[in-house]
Amino acid sequence: MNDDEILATIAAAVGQETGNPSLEITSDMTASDVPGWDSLAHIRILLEIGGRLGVSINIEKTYRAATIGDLIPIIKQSR
Amino acid sequence: MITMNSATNPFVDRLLLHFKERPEQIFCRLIGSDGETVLRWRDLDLLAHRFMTAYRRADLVPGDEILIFIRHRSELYGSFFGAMLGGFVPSFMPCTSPRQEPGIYWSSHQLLLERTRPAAIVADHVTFSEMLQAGLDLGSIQRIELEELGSASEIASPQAESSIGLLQHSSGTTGLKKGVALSYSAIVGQLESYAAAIEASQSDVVVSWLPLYHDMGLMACCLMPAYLGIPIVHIDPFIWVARPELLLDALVDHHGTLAWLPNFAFDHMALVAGRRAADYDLSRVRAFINCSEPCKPASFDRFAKAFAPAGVRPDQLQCCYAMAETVFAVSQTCIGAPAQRIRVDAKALERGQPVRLTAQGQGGTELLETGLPLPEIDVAIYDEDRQLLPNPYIGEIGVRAPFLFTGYNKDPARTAERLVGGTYFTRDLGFVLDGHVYVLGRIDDLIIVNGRNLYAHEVEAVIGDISGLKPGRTVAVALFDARIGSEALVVISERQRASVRQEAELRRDIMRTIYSTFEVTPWRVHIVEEGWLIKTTSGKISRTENLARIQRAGAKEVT
Repeated sequence: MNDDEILATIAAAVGQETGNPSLEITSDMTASDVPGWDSLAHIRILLEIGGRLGVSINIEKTYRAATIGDLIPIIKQSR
Repeated sequence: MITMNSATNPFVDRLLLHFKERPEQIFCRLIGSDGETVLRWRDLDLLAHRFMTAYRRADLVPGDEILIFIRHRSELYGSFFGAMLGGFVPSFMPCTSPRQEPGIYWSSHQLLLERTRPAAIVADHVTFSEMLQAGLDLGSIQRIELEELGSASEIASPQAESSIGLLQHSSGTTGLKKGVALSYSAIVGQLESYAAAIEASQSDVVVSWLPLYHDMGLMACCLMPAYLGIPIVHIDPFIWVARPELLLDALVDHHGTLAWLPNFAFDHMALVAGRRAADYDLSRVRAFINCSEPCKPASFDRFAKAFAPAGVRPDQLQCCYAMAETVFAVSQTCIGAPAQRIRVDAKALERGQPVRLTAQGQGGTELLETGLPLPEIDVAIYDEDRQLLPNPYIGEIGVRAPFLFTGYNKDPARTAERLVGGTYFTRDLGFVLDGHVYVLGRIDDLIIVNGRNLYAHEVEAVIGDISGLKPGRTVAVALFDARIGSEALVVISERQRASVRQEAELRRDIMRTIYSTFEVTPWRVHIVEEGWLIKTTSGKISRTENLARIQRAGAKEVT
């Protein structure tokens, strides 16, 4: 799976879990740019991404991601 | 244990007795990012006395107020109980979360410090550095740094039971937080009454992830078990958010019997941890107690369904109505029996009207009771002129109890407004039916987002200074988001006509300011053009009308 496909999966999960599917998600955005992306939604978003991609994401590592783009390599490392 | 005076203080006396009689027993297991720390009563004894000594060495005198900014570690407990041993008045305060900007967060404390004038602050070196970097002027406030804690003195000097035992700051913005002053006699009166209501005993184990600056965490999961000698398992709140299954692990591993949760936590547990339910046996938990927000039947249903494979039964899901001003509980459902549900006509749920039950199959809104009032508490319902209403009319809930708060700290005007002739007017809307208390929501503009209390007018005020927004032209409103079991915050702000700032920029500033001040992320931020917001005939900006307008304008409705 390439970066664009992962970003599309992130965008779909963010849209679903924040109840805002029309929001445009780009890799340079942060959680603070997305209304509804709070600490509880963060967990649900990652579980949703994990479910869609069939991987288990290390949530601790995601706290070190400054941008949405920084989540991509963490997700790639997940199995 | 030796004490310096002969004042009777049943709470501190009980602590001293526990220190003497159960030194090797576990007071609390703290579960954090670095694993588990076991705090035995002898450890707490030593730690509390070290803090008490440090306070005295800082020239504090009994009655002095101490603000405690400590993250999840043993010193949380030591600093608090150490203050009580010495007759000082402690108050837990929240620290910054990983996403909050320390500069905004700490600078917002200036007003609080100027208004409340605490004698001391307890924190670690890093936290004090953050405060100073943010420009917080601590003035003559004594700094008790964890890294410089010295040795212990053996002699406690508790104050009389009528004196103030602690301050609880649980709602309002940082600067305007209400410090609820509670006497020792009120604390002990509540703890004994509530313990009897839930049949708490030393065979219980309390498991909690709740922060201690909130009444549920402080009273139900810290002071009550400390008073009764019930072991506590305390999970770091930040860790629990990411790994809610830790609560289940702790309940199973440490034979937990009691857990208090705000409504949203039932949903978070079900959504995130529910998929592993079959790995657990939760059948021995006596009660999961839903508290502090309106208890939602749908949240209970989702939790019960998700954790049915773990043996969870409806009779384990309990409700409590609580607030800091009554120390904690006003009412509690009957442990061992499912909480009662009724169906009512939603269109008739208005203040001053009698509640109308609807028959099975005739629609209506389902409500969960919050139980019977504790035996010492009188609950009455009042109209807008504070005249008594008969049951089951809907109105403001008023409470009389022998363990009401003493007042809001250094705020006699607010105290006089809310505490009248021995009745505390809660600003909660509700009714009493067949003796059972039902809570419908708030009369004022308090919004409760995932357990965080914030007032709409305070949210609007902190946004007011953002460049590019029209001053005074913002509204903050709440919608209930059934999917997450909590209210969600919606902000609508007018952009100044002459501003060149982009909508995305303004939205980001609003979100960061709100998060850094309240630790709440808005669910929606709408930037609208100048003149968009609707005013009432009296010239005020109407929250409800503007919410309705933005929904009509196409914002996705929360369902």
